[in-house]
Amino acid sequence: MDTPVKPDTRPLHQAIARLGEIIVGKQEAIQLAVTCLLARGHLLIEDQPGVGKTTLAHAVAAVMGLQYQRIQFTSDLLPADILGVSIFEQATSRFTFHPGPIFAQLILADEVNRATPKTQSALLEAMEERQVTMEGQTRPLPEPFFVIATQNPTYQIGTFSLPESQLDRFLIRLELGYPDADAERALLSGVDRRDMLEHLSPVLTPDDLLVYQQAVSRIHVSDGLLDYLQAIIALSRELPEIASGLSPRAGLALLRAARARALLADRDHVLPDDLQAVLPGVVTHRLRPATGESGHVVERLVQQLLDVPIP
Amino acid sequence: MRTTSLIRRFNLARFFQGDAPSPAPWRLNRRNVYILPTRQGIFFGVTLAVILLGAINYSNSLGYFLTFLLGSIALVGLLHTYRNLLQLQLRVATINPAFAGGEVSVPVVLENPGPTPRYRLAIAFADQPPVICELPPGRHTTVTLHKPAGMRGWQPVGRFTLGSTFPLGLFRAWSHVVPDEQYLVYPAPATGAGLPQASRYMASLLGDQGVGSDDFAGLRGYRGGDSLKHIHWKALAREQGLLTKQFGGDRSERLWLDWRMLAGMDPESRLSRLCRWVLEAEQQGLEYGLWLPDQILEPGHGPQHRQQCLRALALFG
Amino acid sequence: MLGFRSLSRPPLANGLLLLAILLVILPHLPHLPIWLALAGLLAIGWRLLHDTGRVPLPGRLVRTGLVVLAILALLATYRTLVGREAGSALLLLMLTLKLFEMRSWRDVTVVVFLGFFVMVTAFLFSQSLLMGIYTLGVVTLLVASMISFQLPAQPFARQPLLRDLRLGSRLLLQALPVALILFLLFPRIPGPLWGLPEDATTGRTGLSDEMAPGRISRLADSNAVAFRVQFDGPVPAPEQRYWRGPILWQYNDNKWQTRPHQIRLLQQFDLRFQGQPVDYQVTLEPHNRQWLFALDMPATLPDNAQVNSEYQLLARRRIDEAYRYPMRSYPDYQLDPQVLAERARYLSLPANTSPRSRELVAELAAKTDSASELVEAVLDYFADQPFYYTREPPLLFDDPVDEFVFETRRGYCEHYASAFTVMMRQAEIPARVVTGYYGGEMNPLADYMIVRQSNAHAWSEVWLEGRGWVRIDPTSVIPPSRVELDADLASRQPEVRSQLDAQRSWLQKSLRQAGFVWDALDNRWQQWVIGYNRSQQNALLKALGLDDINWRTLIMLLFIGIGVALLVIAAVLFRPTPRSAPGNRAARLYRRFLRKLARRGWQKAPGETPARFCRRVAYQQPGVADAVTHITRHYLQLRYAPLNGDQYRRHLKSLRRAVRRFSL
Repeated sequence: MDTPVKPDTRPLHQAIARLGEIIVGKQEAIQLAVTCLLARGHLLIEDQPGVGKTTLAHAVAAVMGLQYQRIQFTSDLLPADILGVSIFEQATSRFTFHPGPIFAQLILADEVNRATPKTQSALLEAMEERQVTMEGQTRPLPEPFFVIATQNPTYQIGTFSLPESQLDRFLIRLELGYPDADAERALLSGVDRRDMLEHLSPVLTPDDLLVYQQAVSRIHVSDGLLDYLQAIIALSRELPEIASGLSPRAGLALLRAARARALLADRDHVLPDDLQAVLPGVVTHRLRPATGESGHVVERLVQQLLDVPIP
Repeated sequence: MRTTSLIRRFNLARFFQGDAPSPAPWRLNRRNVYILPTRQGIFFGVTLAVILLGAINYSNSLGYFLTFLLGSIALVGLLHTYRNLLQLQLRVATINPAFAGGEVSVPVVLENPGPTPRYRLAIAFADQPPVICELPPGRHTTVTLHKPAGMRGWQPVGRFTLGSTFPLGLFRAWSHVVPDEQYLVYPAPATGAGLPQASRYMASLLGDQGVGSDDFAGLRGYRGGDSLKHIHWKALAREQGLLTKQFGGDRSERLWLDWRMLAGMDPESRLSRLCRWVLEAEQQGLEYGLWLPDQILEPGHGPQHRQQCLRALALFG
Repeated sequence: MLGFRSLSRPPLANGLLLLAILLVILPHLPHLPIWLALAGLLAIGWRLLHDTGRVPLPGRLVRTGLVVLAILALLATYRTLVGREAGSALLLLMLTLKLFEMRSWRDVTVVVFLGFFVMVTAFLFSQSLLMGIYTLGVVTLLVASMISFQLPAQPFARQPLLRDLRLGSRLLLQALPVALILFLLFPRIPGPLWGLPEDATTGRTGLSDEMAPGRISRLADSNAVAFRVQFDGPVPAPEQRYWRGPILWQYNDNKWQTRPHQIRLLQQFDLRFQGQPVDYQVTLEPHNRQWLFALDMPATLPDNAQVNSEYQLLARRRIDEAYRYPMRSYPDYQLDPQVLAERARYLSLPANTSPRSRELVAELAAKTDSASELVEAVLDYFADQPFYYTREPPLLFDDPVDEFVFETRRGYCEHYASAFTVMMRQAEIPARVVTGYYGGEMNPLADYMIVRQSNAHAWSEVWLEGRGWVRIDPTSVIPPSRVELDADLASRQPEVRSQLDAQRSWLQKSLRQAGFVWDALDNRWQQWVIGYNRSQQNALLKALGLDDINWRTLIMLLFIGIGVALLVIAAVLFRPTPRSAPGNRAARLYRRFLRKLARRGWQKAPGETPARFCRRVAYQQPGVADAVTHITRHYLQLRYAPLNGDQYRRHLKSLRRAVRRFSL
């Protein structure tokens, strides 16, 4: 397939504009979500119920023309409930595989921290490997494959918060937060979002998305930018307030996200601005402060990383 | 004019004590780095003088040359020693509180913004063994210094010294660093004092909000994944929707660690004893409160509570 | 105090130090007693084995015993503990024994400093160029091992040894200019400050103040350089290269001697010169005598030189360091042609000296009319009779002249000069033996002549009425067919050399060539480094336009020189910012742009991206918005975008122009 060096990004921007109409006042979050999708990463949304996590996932699926599945995670959800199961059929006297909800292009994994660690890891493994292995048989997941997981704040009861080692399977973590006054007003006075979703027609096709994803990997990264990235990573490993610094995987994630961001900005190369834009989303769930407390400490640390001199 | 500036620049008190405490980061520059020959350096000088005398006596040109070469190497070495410290930056990171009579660990972040690696830097408080480290160009490192924690309450970090004899050991460059950071010292935990037997139960004013499984605490809307056992079936039957029962509790005993229980002891011993009790109670997973004449801490547990109690003890009076 | 008392990197650093110590000891090996040389090597080996964990170090008792034993052995060998040989052996011994108790950083220092001492004592034996270069190497190693002991065991360098060597040599290179200034400007105090031991200087010479032909059966041969000569004009012909040295005139007990010198004034001689003078400079190697050498016949006296009654040049002091002096000589001369003072002393012979030769002389005298004809006749006799030139003649016993002339007829220059002079005196012709050097080879690469100890020669001078003292070299009449030389020795005899040259292989030729190159360098070294003394220092200062300065000014000059050199080194060392990576011109231009903005209070925060900064400035200062955007766009392209060479140049050009023009 002959792919142009720089694909036409106009449909992409159209899609983002359409998303903005539905999810009001969350431009930055939409940008990050699309960035994550373009970078072939998965998204973790951590926030209170009712701020529009589900709507966002649903809207992305609708606009991008992706086949959509929602999985509500509960404490009694089993891995097979996600991945699928082989059932013996009397008619053919054979086991046939009934694929689980994971065999879709966009998965909304709602409240992942409610499921047991066993179920969580089944999802995370599938996310990472983009395939499902069951009963010795490996089945590839569809392309593109994009997981949006939501997580309630960890202090709520009956939750199994994702272990830190698993958290970095998600490329970007974001908080939606409450809408500001104007957006709230628009939300309250406007048409029901669910109705809007139903009338939403796709702007892109999954194939378009694949083209964009391939274009991302061709975005140029200069030595100067790598110097900057390394300076950030080095600082994260040297700050005494951080228990463990950014891993090499975190560095790669940063670069991938920054590339996607550059594509969104219609550039063929990454700027420090791209890196800074994706930095909080990519690193907050990967940094572990040395002292037990979190929250503001992490924010302060991220700010320190953003203050690294640009070489 | 010139003399005054010289006096300002070279002042014996600064030479021996360092500057007055100053805010972070501390930068090493030409004004606060001193350099003098070490014992080896003086010995080296004497050696050179003897070789020179020999060279003069024997009119030996190569002898002259070797003397001068070695002397020049020492001089250039002096510059290298000096440079090894120049431009370094130091700051003290957050210091964890210590107990009186114990040791405090002071994490010092050393940064080398210069283009050259720094070798064999020795950092130490007076009378403490030095910590040795190296720093590649443009890197940070954190070294942890130790010193006796001192008295209860806030304590200044005090003066420590960063020195180096690299490369030849003939000269030693050093700088006294006096950061204005402070650290908290908790009272020394008393030894051999078990928890008080006379514990009193005291109801919390705020009621029970915790997480647990013993006491019914309230109802909330059902979320997928909630245990079936906790579904409020009766409410469902009354068609009030799916509700989940919430439980709290899990606490059996609350302990008041009370200043008044230690009547007859001097204040420091009381604090010492209370400190030990706080540690014990926390370790045994008890709910405990602290009663001090000037402050009352409601019962609780967990690292944060423990820290609050210890802090109150440290700053008492 | 933050002292480093313990050895943190023993095996590696010790290895480096041991290697350095081995190299320090090496130059001493030739003149050490065999037991001490072995002991030194053994100690190094032992220490090495200890460091690799194989053997323990000797205990305190054993060490004390070793010290006592070694000092006794030294006393037995040298009968003293002072002086050049014994002193350096003692230092070396201390160094060796210290290796056994090297535990702390302080001990290491002592070992290194002792190493420096032992290194210096080696200079009392040799100050050659090779030694100089060798010294630089050893000092580098010693300095590197000092550095090694300073650095901790887990350095961030992958090859700590290499790193230490690199640091050491960098230190050495930076120190060299300062050392040079010190060497040139440090006031040279003429030594000695106290009495020199007997064996203080290395100088040896092929000549002596007495000559006893026949007593030594083998002529010592040394390739060492006696002196070097630089001619101002054309080089004199080989047959004129007679370098006048000690003159022996008293024949007693079968040996020629010179009496204590009687100093004369130049004016007391009747000297007449004709033809062109030869002007030259002689650089004399130290030989620990007062003798100066000059071509026959010197017409001037160097500073601080005298002349004795035999017209031999003498320095006022022993030559114990390389000495360079200018000379003028006339090959065509007459010395005392009219009157000969003290005629009797040049005719005196012990009674009954060589009766057979006396007969021969009488016989020849009868056949000739004049003294000069008799001289010819005697020379003819040597030429016609089967006399041989050999450097390994048979021993002569009772009457060396008669035995040589009539029996053995084999000998070298001393035999011929001695026999000829005796025969002249028997014929009542005043005669004396002149020793010195004959010949010398030009270094074809450096335009100077090398005269070696192997060029030592002896000839005669006879006084003839009206002609004065005439030089007669009886050895020269022996035809080449009767010269017995092994090839090596022959090569240094001027008359044989040309024949041999044709037979050399290219390898020999190139080795010879390399030898000349080395000697040329060594000559410079001897002249300018080893021979650098007060007078050369004065000459240098004069050349710098500083005439007649006293030592106080000199010291001031010295301090200024060192100060300037150190400042330059410090400026390089303390360079505040790292040099930007080559080719990173865009970043440099952008920094310049930032400085321009900073002057007006627009400071870019370190973490602020150029684009964000650009927007901030453009928003708050719309007047420059276009320029700032322009510059930022080009800079970002150059630094972050994929560009081909052409695009790169275009952007860089635009950026440079924009930054230059930019002003607020």
